[in-house]
Amino acid sequence: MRHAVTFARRNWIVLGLLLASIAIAFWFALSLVSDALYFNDPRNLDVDLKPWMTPRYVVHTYDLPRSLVMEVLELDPEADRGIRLGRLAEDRGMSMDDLTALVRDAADTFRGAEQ
Amino acid sequence: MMDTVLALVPDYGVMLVFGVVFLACLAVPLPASVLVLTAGGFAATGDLPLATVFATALVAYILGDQLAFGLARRIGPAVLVYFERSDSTAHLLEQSKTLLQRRGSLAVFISHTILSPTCPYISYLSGAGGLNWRRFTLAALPGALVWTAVYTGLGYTFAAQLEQVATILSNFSGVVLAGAASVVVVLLLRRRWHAHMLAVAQTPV
Repeated sequence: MRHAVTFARRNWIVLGLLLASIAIAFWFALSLVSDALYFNDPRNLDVDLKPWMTPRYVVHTYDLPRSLVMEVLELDPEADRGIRLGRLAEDRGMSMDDLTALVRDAADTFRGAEQ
Repeated sequence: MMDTVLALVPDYGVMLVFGVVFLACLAVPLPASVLVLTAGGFAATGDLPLATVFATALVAYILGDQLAFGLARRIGPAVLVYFERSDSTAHLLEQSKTLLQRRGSLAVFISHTILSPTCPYISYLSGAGGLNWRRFTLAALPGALVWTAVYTGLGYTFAAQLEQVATILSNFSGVVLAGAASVVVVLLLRRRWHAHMLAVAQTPV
């Protein structure tokens, strides 16, 4: 026991590093488990639109017909298919929140009509 | 930073993927994994061709990696001579070189896949430490292939949940890196403990 105490006193920095690395690993593991558990959470559906997304990306993530998304965003299906939503919002003088609200309303209407 | 880089994908496509992956292999701090994941997502939506995304990321990885190894092989020995002037670092470097020769292939493969944030440093160390080019390449190539396939594949499969997958992968990397750091510290402590007990045994009562 005496040897262990002397050893711990002499190596307190390394022991501190060990505790810190274990605590960090544990924290990441908890976040990992929590993210995995909530992977299919309804909150992760119809996510907020981001400036890097494209109209095709919206079609894929919101699971909407391509023609509907292009119509809502007032885009040409051929010429504007690769446009970034950030640029689109900028051109229209809208915020990303406005654009998200527009697409969500269209999605609600479409899904309501489908049911 | 992340959103800025991702916003460049629709504009610059696979050229951006090539540039970022290539530079990340040289230890330039760029989000290569998230970018390849996102490019895989854009492949699923039809904005980018999947085969081109995969091939571009793989070629960029291999070229950047080989450049890191080649640069370290050319410049590394001169840098190591500088550090070998001190007795303590010379001993440490000698031990590192021995370890590299014994476990080099495994270290290269792991650093190119599960511990990918350490990839450029292991490539630099391998080049500077004199690891045989053939041995390095035989471990680095499958590593690059696995890494590219996993990130492109995950992006393609989970295109609708890209941000969630990116967060999960980032947390997974955190667990692996912090876990690896813990193992290294435990090994160091074990060595010190043996040295400590040896010193105690040799001390006259």
